[in-house]
Amino acid sequence: MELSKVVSLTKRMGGFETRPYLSWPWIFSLSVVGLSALVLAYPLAILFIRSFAINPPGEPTAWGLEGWIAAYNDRAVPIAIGNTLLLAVLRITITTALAIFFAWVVTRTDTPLKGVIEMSLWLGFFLPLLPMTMGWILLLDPQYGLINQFLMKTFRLSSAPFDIFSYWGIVWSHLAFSTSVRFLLMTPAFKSMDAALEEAARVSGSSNAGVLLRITVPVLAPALLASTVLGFIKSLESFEIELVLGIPAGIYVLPTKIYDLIHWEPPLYNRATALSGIFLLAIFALIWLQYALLHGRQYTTITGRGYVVRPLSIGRWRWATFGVSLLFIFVMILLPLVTLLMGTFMEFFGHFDMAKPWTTRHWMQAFSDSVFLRSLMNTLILGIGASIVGAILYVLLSYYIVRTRFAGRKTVDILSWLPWGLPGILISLALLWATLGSGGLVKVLYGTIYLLVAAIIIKEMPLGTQILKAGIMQVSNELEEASMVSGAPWPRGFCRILLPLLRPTLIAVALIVFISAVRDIPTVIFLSTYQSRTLSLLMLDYIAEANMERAAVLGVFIVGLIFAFLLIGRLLGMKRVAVES
Amino acid sequence: MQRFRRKWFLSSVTCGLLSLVLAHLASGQTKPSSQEQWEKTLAEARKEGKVVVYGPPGATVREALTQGFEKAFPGISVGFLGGSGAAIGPRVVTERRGGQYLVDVFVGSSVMLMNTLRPEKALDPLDRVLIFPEAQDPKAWRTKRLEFSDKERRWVVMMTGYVHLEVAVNSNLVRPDDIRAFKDLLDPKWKGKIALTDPRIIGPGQVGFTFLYHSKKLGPDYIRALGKQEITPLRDHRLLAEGVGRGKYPIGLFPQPTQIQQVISAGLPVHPIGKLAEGSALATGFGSLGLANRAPHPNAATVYINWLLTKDGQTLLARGLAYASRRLDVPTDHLPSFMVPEANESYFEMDHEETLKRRDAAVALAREIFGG
Repeated sequence: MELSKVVSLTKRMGGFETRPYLSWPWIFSLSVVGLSALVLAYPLAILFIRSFAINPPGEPTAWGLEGWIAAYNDRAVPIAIGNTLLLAVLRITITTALAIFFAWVVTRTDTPLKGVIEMSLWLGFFLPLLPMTMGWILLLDPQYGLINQFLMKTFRLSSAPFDIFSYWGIVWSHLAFSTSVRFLLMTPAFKSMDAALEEAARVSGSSNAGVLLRITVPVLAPALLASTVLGFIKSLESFEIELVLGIPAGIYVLPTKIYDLIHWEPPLYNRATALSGIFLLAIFALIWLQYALLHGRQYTTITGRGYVVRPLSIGRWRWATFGVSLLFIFVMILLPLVTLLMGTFMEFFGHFDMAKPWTTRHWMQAFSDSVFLRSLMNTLILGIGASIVGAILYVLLSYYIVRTRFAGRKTVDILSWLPWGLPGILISLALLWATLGSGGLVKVLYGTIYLLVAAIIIKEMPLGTQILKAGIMQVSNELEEASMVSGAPWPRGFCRILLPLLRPTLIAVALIVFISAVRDIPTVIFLSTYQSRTLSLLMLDYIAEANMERAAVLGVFIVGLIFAFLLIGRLLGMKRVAVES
Repeated sequence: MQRFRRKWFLSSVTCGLLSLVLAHLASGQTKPSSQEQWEKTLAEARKEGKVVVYGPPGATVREALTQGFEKAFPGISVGFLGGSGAAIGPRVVTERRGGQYLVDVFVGSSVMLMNTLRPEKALDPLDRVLIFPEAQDPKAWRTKRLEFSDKERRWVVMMTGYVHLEVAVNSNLVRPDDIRAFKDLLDPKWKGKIALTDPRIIGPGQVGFTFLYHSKKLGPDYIRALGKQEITPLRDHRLLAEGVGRGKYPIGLFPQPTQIQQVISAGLPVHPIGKLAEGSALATGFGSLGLANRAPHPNAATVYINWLLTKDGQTLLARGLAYASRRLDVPTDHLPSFMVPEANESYFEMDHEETLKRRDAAVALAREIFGG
């Protein structure tokens, strides 16, 4: 290579650094980051400031610490914090083990019917929590639960063996959803791992379990840790199941407490925001832990040498992995799903002893609702818009955080976590304040579906960026550098090399955002108007009048809708595999 | 002096008669003027073409409050946004502070209207817009006049009034005669056998606790004694109703009436007890009405409010919410008898301004007993 060409190339690459410096793509990237910081920091700063507002409605704004003092002076708060942590630790321990197992089974082994196992685990992610919990109560209530009654009669037990209204009942009811979330977060990383590492271990005499524990898990540490941190935060925030199962048993968690404050009339948002500060503290602690554990290590699994995604043959053990997977799917996903589906055809959910227990009227009523079609249209626009725009934004943000050396990228990294520090309803309120407190250009967004798209993108930013960060960390820089050395500008290298390698991860992120958009209620509750009502808000209408049957119909319909998109996503993924092969 | 008195008397009588004649003439003029005013308002409303209503959550009430009006007044569509007071109240406050005046009419709880929207000056007085004679016909209403939450009788109309359900029992486990008074619940044999709709959050439990707290025969001491009965607070109305029906909780205190009706129709042995010896309360639930200040469609709002207070409007509202209307000509055949107030009975009004102000004390005691 001529000296002049080398000099020109090194200039383009920002000196002999492996990471690129300022050029026009970075100006674009910076503007994306600036916009993200604005949409994240501005509403949350407003929320934080308003947590010090102590005036009742209608009176001039007054500031003080009363909200914070009242929130933390509450004697019930330490107990609630203890319960929250205990439940989160229990859930995270169990689901981490289960999710690693399933991700390994689906991506790294020759277990039969892996595709079916994967799709079934996805199902667990988008089953509606409230109707599913009602299904579990029907099965495991100590007084009248069908499974308890069956076991008591069969084994002549004097008392019910299971009680759904307990710590373990709460953990159990979360298991399908939480394991599925962790599985979804981990699978793309497992899929992108070079099989040569595992094969080398096998050649060196390592067992199946040895390969999993000594090679697969350590190599995938960033993805596993990111998913654990995300899962832990999600566990801290969870409240629907705790509300239904915890309160009758006297188990209160922090989100239940925040829920109370929000549902006070007039709502005590200052105290709710103050209590949410605990989540922010937990998030900062977990981010620090993640940095401390991963700092200075190399987790690249995809390099310029090319990589192999061939699954390992685990011999007869594949039937054992198949059996365990099938058992989990049957008990944790199919059983409550069938109960849910059955519930939509029952006159009154769970009452088999009525004269005419079966009916299709809930389906007829749900689909003949005058606002159904409009809500469906809004949901599709919201889901597709948020998943596409969100995936693009998250990949740019992740790239900025992982690959560049710009000052402030750590700040942006921390900022990207913030939306998970607050319950969805507070994010909704923050965006409402931010939108209506801004200039005319922003105000016009109010009442449109675009504001809901923005809200979902913000809400899912921690998940999207963390998954994509882990994905980018697995891809070696040398691929892009090779592209630049060959004369390709940065955007071409980014689009032609990195994005195709990240495609499974991007599709997973887009699907997760889509699912979240379709299911979400609290994040959009203050932003939606009668013109931008979504299916999930329509479902809330049914839940409000305790019409669980009609709510379950919409729940099943939403599951079907998501399943259709999941199939599309999977077909896209399959196409990639076909091209590669 | 006597002449003067006679003169004064005659002139007084003449003046009185003159006033009566004038008043009669004036009233004769008001009637056509009221009709004219209505027709003019209706024509203007049709030009506006829309009315925006923020109302209660629920699909049934949404359909009742939109489709009924649109059928009655073709050409005026209803934009309806439903939600609990906790969702609607802060939204309206923020909208208004951001210069967005989007809503015309509020239908919801008196708590939201009186405690959040009125202090925020988000309401306009209703007396100015009540122009349709049927809407305010004194003979039609339970107390011979429209009932208001506010003492000024101008801002928040209480349209519905149902007897708050006090207790439901599992008739296989508890004889209804065993529970004739609230004090019967203190019997040690019911310890650990009572479930209660959680009084710490908005809902029937909070209404019930406020009633107990302010009842002269019961009061805070009774509530404290009740707290020692190892009561289970539940937030899911359906869970409570089913728990009573399946015998998990033999006694349900302040359950949600529609859920109790559902489990009864499902064949479960549940017996509702609407009224106990210490009296009972009349609740408005989500059935209060307010006019938005700076309404974007003022004429359509006027038409909507007047329609809602007629027999047709109230029939749809009462069915949509599964409550009783305070209008006497509205059918109650959609309700169990225990929810329908008796004509000559006096009830504790849960949604009057004074009661609303004192609600916090009852909730504080509930928190003291149940934590949180």
